[in-house]
Parts: sequence; structure tokens; C-alpha cells
Amino acid sequence: METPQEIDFITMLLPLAGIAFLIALGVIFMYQQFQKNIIRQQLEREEIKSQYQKELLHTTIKVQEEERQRIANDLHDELAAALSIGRMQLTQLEHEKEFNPKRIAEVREIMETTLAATRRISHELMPLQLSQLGLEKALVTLLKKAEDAKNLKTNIAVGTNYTNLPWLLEIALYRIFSELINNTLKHAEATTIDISILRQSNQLFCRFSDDGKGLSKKLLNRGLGLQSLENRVRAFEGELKFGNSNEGGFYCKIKIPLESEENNTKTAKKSIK
Amino acid sequence: MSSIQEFIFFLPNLFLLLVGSYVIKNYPQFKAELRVISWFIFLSLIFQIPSYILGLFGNNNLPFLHFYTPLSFVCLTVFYQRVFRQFVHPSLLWWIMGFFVLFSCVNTIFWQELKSFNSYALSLESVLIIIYSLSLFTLLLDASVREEKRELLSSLVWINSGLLIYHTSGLLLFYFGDLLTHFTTVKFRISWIFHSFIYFVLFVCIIIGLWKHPKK
Repeated sequence: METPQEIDFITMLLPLAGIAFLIALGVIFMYQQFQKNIIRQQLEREEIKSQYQKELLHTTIKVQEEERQRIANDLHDELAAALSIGRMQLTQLEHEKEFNPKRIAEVREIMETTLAATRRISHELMPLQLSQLGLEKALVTLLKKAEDAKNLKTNIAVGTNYTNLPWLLEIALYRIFSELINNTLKHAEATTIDISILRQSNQLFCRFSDDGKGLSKKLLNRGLGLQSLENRVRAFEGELKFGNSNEGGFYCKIKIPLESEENNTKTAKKSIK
Repeated sequence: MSSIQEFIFFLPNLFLLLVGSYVIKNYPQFKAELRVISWFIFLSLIFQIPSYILGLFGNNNLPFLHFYTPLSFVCLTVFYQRVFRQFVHPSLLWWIMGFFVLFSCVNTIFWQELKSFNSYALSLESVLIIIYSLSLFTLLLDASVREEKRELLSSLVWINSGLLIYHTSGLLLFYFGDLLTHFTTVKFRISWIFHSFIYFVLFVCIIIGLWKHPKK
């Protein structure tokens, strides 16, 4: 048997200590690299978030201005024009000495048209069904209109316990679904629309889906219309997820906390201000 | 005693075959990081089985180790490169990989020839893998990283632990390799039994890591 050689303890341990030191240096170096990159990524994320908040604010202002513009156009083109004609005819009637039932009937007709236009504008601003019959009925009416417009099949499923939602939340949901239905009618070439609303304890879950061609990549990166939806949902501290489903078509899921009705109303009011 | 030794030598090879068959079956489901670990397993199979057979017949199988060492290091570096993506400059790990392959070739040509044990390259490989491995654990201390790697977290921790255990034990074994040559053949053989055991532990950790891969 070979005799083991004498081993110098220091000679043996020093290189091992050196290796341990080298490993420690390597780990420290890598750790510094990680920290640098993690901080950089956090800053980038903050930047994107701040940019996104700015975009949301701009979108909100833009949508508000567009809505004001639309109302102004409606008032100017329909009401003002009809009232102006009515006034002209009344002026002419003032100067006529004889009673002229035909001209009076014409003025009445103009007044009726004006009244109908006023109702339409008013309903567009605040749907009558929503205030009188509630969200479900208002949505059913909306879906019926969509069915008539594009020969669509629509389904709505509403849980029995979703009632007593704050009024502002009902308006917001109505606007959101209205916007989604509008988008589907305009762009999706869909044949079916499905809506569901379900309340589970303190959460409200809403889902909208169609079987159309889905969102383009550009819109998937949050298009203008969808940003306004997100803004409405955020006003209630909710979450909005949307995208293209595996089967094709678009889906949008909304989750809104309903911890207390007061809270929701307060939050929404704050956001509207 | 001899039959137990033979069994311990054989155990990692048997287990490697099992891991290999699992990897072949599930490869398409693996994420990019785990696919590299699959390459590492295939590579280990390609080198380990012929090397074991050669060893059985008493032939020198060390030339296999000279090729296996740089190739396995390349696989593991690519694995860590994918895991560290976004957290280190990508060229850093390429440079380390290039440096190690070059060192390994120089070592084989000039210092520890084909038929001798390439302890220098193996020691350096272990040092570098230990650095990667400990770095990954420090990286995973960050909550945002854990959240980002949520799906793979369990797999990464198991595989990384296996690599750390194997290479830490291996480093000590390779470091004291020179000393081993001064021992008797029996003791030298015991150290290789220990190596077989930690090699087996490595593949146990890897198979658990792969088993915990995110399912669809």
C-alpha cells in the first residue's frame, strides 16, 4: 500500500478559502447586476404607469368634449333649426289677419318634431328605461335594438341578487355595455352577443362576449374606446380585463367590489368631479 | 460490499434513463428554461451511458468527461441565461461560457490530457455553477422577481438546489482529487461512490423540478 504523503494544513485550506472568496465575489457581482436591473425595470414600470394615467386623463377629457360636441350639434342642428322655422312661421301668422288653420297645423307639426327630438336627445343622455325599469330591462332594450340593427342573436343572464346597486354604478354599467355593444355592431361582424351579470357576496362580476373577429393587435394595446371603459370601471375601484377568446371573438370581464354602497357612490362621485 | 457499490454506481444511470423518458414525453409542454434542462439530461444520457459501459469493462472512460464538461456547462449557462434574462446583461453569460469552453480545451490539450482526470475544468465549472446557483437564490429573494417567475418558481428552486448540492459536493471532491491519488484504490473508489450518490441526488432534484413544471 502506498504511504499517504504528509499534507500541509495551510497549503490545503488556503486555496479552498480562495475559492470560497471567489464564489462570494461572483455572487456579490451578480447581486449588484440584479439590483441595478430590477431598479431600472421598476422605474420603467412606473414611467409606463404614469404615461398610462396621463393617457387615461386625456381620453376622459376627449370623450367628455366629444359628448359635449355631439349634444351641441344635436341641439343646434335639430332643436335650434326647428325652433327657428317655428318662430318664422309664428311671425308670419302674427301678420296674417285671417285665421289660418293650415299654417297653425304646420307650426304644431314643427313643435311636435322638436319635442320628439328633445325626447331623443334626453333619452340618449339618460335612458328612460334605466331610471324607470332598472339596468336589466334597459340592457334588454339595448340588446333588442342591436338585434334589429344587425340581425344578431343576443343572450343576457342576470343573477337574482344583483339588485340594489348604487345608481351611479348602474349608469356606468349601462354606458359600458352600451359602448361594448356599439363596438361589436360597428367592427366585430358578430352573430351573437352574450352578457352576464352576477353578484357574489361583495363582488359584482360582469361579462360581455361576442363571436366576431376579435380585437386587432393595436386595440389589444388599449384603444381609445376601451380606455374610457377602463376609466369608468376604475372609478369604482374595479378591474377590467379584455381580449380575444380562444374560440375567436372578443370578451370583456369586469369585477367591481361592492363593499358598501356608500363607498361606491362616494368613489364614483369623486371620480366624476 | 462490491454488489452494493456496483448498485450505487448503476443507480444514477438507471434514474437518468427514467428522467430521460419523462423528458421525452413532456418536452413540448416545457417552458424555454426547462427545455434547456432537458438538453442537459439528453447530453448526460449520451455521455453517461457509454461511459458507464466502458467503465464496466475496465476501460478508461475519462475522455468522455473532457467533452462532457464544456458541453454540460454550456447547457447550464444557457439555462441560467434564460432564467436571468432581464436581470443581467445577456453578453455577460456568453463571455463566461466562451471563457470556460476555451479554458476546458486548453486544459485538455496542455495540462490534463484526454486520458487523465480533468479536475481543473471540473473545479472551475463547479465554482461558476455555484455562483450562478447562489445568485439565483439571491435574485429570488426579491418579491417582484418571485411574482414574475411565479409559474416556474417551484421548478427553479428544485433544479437550482440540485445543481448547488451536486456542484458544492463535487467541488470538494474535485478539489481534493489530487489528494485522492495519494490514497489507496479502495478509498479512491469510495469517493466515486459518493460522486455517484450526489449525481443521483442531482437528478432527483431535477425530476422533481420538471414534475412541478407549469401544467396547461
